Amino acid sequence: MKPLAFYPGCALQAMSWDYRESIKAVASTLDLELRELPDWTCCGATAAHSLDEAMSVALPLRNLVSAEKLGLDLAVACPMCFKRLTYTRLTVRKKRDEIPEGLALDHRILDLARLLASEELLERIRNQVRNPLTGLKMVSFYGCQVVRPPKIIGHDDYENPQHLDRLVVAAGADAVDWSFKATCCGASMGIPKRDIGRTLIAKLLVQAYASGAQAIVACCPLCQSNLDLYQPELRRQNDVLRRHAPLPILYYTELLGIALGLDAVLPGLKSHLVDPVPLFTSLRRQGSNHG
Amino acid sequence: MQPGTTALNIVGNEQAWSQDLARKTGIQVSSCYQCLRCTNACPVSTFMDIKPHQIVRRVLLGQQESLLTCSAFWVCLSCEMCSTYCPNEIDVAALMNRLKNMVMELRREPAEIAIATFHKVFLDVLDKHGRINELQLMNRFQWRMLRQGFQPARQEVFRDLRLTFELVRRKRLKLLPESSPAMMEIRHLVHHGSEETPS
Repeated sequence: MKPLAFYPGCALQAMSWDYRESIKAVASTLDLELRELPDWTCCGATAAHSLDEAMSVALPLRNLVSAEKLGLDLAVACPMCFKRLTYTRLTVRKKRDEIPEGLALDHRILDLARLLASEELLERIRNQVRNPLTGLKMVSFYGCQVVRPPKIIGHDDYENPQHLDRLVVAAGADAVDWSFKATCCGASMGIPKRDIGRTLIAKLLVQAYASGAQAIVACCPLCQSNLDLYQPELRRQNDVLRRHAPLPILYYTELLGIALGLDAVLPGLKSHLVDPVPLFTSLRRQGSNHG
Repeated sequence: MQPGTTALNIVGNEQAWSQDLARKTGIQVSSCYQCLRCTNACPVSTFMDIKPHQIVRRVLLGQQESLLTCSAFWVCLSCEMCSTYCPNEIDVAALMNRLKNMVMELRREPAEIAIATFHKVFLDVLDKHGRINELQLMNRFQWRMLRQGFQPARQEVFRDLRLTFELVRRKRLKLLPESSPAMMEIRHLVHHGSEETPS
């Protein structure tokens, strides 16, 4: 597999450093070379398109220019960045005359999770799993940005996306079905509007428990942060949540890291507010009792 | 005219707005048959003063002045459920976005000050560093809200401080922001690029 340019996105610098470290560890184990864009800048996210549509295209475009200089397809870790970059590429390509001089825009923009769930990499994962997570029940949470709208994303599986589920199965765990795979977590609305954010997050947690899942696997830094960081606060207010053990929220790369036996993902797991380590320790204990 | 009938008071073309919108953005509100699929799919319609299908209707009826004072489109999360499920392929999410942009372009007061402030502060941090730093974003947001007279409850302040402490301890909030090597290019975009905003 050819090397890829890599766009990490702002969240991976601080809030979601655990995602960044787990991507590095998993990519190097799978012989996937990711070359970070040296001068990447923020995609503008929701703020840019809400306040200034022109800027919401201009900001991602300068990253596409930078990626094209490397002459490689671009892998993107954050769903929000993935969508803004993909949207920009489509929008600019439509207005042929406005494409900056010398820019071809002919390289692909890839969502890292979908890429890892492609058959070639999935096979490499299956071959290298050292700690299969047998018996672990997981629901996959995709959020909005990697599935909607299908016209921009380029996949029409928005009703029932399955790439994270395939990764869960490759890690040896059980992918549990639920109806909330692509339900919005409230994004950053929880900061200016506490009630809206908390309501949507609580609903997702309640539904995950109802599905019988022991953990949630996520692909979006904002979804992971929302579901993890507000759990202690929500548990104090919500009886349904208190009846269950706290629910660990893992990135797919962290889950793969555990299954592949990569110690490099362990410090990152400790940065979660809901510590996922006890779940995996008890899983191993059960496994050794049966085995 | 017969007694009991009322003459129509036609003062202008009420569809001028929606026609102009369709021409410039491709958002075709005249295709709407009010099936409410957008509103039923919306995860935050319960928090909106008017619902997504009503927004589409008001645009068609040309009720721009009253619509721009609504909070509904500020509450929109851009989750794109409405645009994905509309049977007539109306890009409702893009419409919500256009309305937020219009409020800014016309320099009106946004109906949801906290949400608009959060977006503005995000662009301030982006302007300063070319990348977002969460701690800066939160601090600037809280100061800007305080300056606008929004006093948070004591209990909330403590809760936020406790979370901030936990996150700093876990290195999930960084005290020193990282800047992009291309920071100056971003400043140029933020200060000059927006002059090309389409109407």
